[in-house]
Amino acid sequence: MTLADVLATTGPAPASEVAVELTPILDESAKREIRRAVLTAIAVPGYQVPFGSREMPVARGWGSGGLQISLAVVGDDDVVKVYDQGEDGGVNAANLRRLIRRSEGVKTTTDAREASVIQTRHRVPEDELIADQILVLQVPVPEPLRGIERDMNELRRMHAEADYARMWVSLYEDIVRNGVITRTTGYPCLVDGRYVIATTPIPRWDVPPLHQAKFLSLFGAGREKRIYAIPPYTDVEPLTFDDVPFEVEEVSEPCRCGLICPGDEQGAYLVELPAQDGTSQWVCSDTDWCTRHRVANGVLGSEALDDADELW
Amino acid sequence: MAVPVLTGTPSQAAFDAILRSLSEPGSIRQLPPSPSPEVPAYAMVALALGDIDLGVCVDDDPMHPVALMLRAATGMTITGRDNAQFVVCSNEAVPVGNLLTGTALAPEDAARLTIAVDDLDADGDGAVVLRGPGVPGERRLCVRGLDRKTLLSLGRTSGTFPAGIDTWLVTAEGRIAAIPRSTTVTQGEH
Amino acid sequence: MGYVAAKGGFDAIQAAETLVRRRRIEGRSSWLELDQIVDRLRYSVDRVMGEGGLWDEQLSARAFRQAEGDVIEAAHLIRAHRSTLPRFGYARVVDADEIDVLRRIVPAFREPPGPQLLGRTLDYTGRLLDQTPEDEGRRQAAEAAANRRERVVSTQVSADEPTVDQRVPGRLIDVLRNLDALVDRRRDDDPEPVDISRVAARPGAPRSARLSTMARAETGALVQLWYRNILGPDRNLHEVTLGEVRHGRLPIEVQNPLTGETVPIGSVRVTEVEAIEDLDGVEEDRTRFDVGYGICLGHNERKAIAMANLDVAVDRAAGDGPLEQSVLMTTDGLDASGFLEHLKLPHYVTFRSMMERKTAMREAAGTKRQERLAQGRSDCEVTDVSGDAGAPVEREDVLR
Repeated sequence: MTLADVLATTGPAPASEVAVELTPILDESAKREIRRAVLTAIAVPGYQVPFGSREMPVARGWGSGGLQISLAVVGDDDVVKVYDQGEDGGVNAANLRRLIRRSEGVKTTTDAREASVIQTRHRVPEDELIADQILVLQVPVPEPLRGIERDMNELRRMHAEADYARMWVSLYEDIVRNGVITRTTGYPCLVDGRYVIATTPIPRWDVPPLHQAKFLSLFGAGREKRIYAIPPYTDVEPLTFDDVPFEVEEVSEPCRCGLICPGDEQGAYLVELPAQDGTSQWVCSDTDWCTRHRVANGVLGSEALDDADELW
Repeated sequence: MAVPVLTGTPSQAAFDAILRSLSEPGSIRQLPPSPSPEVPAYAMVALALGDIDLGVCVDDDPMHPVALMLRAATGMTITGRDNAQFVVCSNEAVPVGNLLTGTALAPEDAARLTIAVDDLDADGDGAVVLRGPGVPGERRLCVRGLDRKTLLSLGRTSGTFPAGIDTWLVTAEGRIAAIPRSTTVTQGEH
Repeated sequence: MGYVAAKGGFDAIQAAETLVRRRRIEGRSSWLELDQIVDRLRYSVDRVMGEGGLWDEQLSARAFRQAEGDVIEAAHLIRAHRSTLPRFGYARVVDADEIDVLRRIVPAFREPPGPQLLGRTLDYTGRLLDQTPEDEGRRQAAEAAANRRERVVSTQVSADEPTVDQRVPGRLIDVLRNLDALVDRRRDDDPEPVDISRVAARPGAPRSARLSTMARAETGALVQLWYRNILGPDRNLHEVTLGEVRHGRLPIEVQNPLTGETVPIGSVRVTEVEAIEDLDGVEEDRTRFDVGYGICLGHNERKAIAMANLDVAVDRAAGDGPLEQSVLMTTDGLDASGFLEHLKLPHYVTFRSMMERKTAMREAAGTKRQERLAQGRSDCEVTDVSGDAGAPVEREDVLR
């Protein structure tokens, strides 16, 4: 059976039903608790604030922390974008978007430039975000030092005393053994010169836009019950050595959208689409951004962009 | 008299102003209108964020009408200021020392302080200079109706961060600016 | 504005929901009534209530049916439902001695003070698959139902029903205390129990947080952690002697906010266990025992026993070693299953980043090799880099 068969026999619920009736997910008291944790996180940039973390209609590890933050911060006038790995059409993104919409009655969009709140899993939008936009990042593992220390009391002490010596040693050993720093995504960064954070697992490509950004970043780890933040205009420095430059992911191929070549000013984070014959194509992981460029480039017709807001 | 409980949209709107003022310290935002005449603007922070497990202190006066209102509306307990998560000062005469600051191990155990002031301005005579996260370079803030010594004692104090107090200054009209513990406050040049 | 293709994800999840709903609602058999689940799938309903952290048999039966018999999924439904409910207040702290027992055994003594009340247990039922024909089973059920109605009508208390005194027995722990055979860990102050649904418990948390965490933990996780510590590499546990194993009803009372009076609003069934621990550490009081405590919603002795043993073991370790962290952080069913299953989500952005580092490491290794070759060294290990990164010693780190 295919998707089309299922839809043909039953059909999805009418879109109008989806938009009208609100199904609140969090009560006022839970929202207040999350809001207080968010405020502490902003006042102490990079510190992982513990919070109660309610169970959400999505499983722990599936964006429950980001979802709680989004539900606690959005208001009637907000326009929300939710995307996953850069893709608005991903099933988990669609599910979270639907839940936020049904709970809070907000408008949604796929265009990062129109969104006031952007919930994301593992990407920062390629568009340059502006002041008063809020980026909500879903975090599976908030503890940047877990690879070098497991004991939670010791981890607390290390953060409290800003004792990151063992982190530096591990990076140094990495270079000695492997010739490069092998950290992939979630690259450890020093925030405001004080706390080391895990930059979720966003690619290294997305780390520089966090430094002295105009927007506010809120990180939600629902399963581990932690919230942390990077306020706007805050230093975010990837941990590296003076003579070992921080490296982002480079690709020597252009995206199939044609316009964007990595390395030029409009470079983007590309992912590989391998084919059976051993060849591969490269595409932007940020699908909305890519679509807009392909329309501008004439590769796609303008019907690819649509006021699709009411569709889901 | 109806208890002025804040919930839903008005609660979120108040939080939004509180959040954005804190994200960009010294920037001046606007709180939503007070839900009732018995709620002065300076009580809005505690009214929007207070909850049953927390303690509140208004002007060191356990019988202060605003304290009684906040207790009825949020379920908070009225406590001394050395034990309150929300400390509210209706005027500059009230001492703001001896509050919960949290510790390096638990910075979240800190008080949130709200002080009523006469006026807030982006600049002007006697403006202080704010630096730190949320501030591009530096930002000036002119506060009227607050003792200068108190103003300079807010924000980051040497050697204590990440412990400290986050402060909101609120005018009668609901204009609001924040000085979190991460912000350094210094004298503006004259 | 949006781009059209993004609607695909929404359509796909709706289609998946339709497939789920179809089997759940249509099925190929008659509708499963909530009463049947509460009445006949008792242990499952109790587990859902215990792991969901909410006492409501009908709601839990509903969740269990919706989850098609998946206990963790049902507990998730119950907890997510809880998140939508406002909290009006807290019940009065109830003394566990107010328990009205349905079952009580004391393995530590042959004739303890109070009864040994075997009650309803599977322990001594022959574990033989009941192959009574379905027709006969239905006939027996109908007959039993008719008899039960008769009994209710006659309102006769049968002779083997325990008396009221027996229902509220004393505790073995009090006997031991009177014999001065226990270390006393009771405290004079009376702190409010930690509410783990509102405060994130982490190592160093008060005992009430530890007990609440285990009370809501996944049964299998506690059993596994217990067994791992008994037989596995961790070895933090000794086998305890059980002082009390009880299943019974505890009253729930709240304070009327206006009159201040205490008002009973119902009762919950709990399983309660006290486990006696032989203190044998060098620094410990070897002349006395210690006691671990376990309690959980519903009838779940496996869980309460594991909990009582782990409770005292964490206390004895006193923050030393990983057991406390394991108890607090790794036993929640929703946390563990959710994180495990999140591996099914797309990970191509992170995977791409990992691939890129593999390439970078190979290039770095290649550069090193060339440098070494240029220096005129010959090293057969280094020349063998047809595919993998670097020298063999590096392999482990690369894969980690």
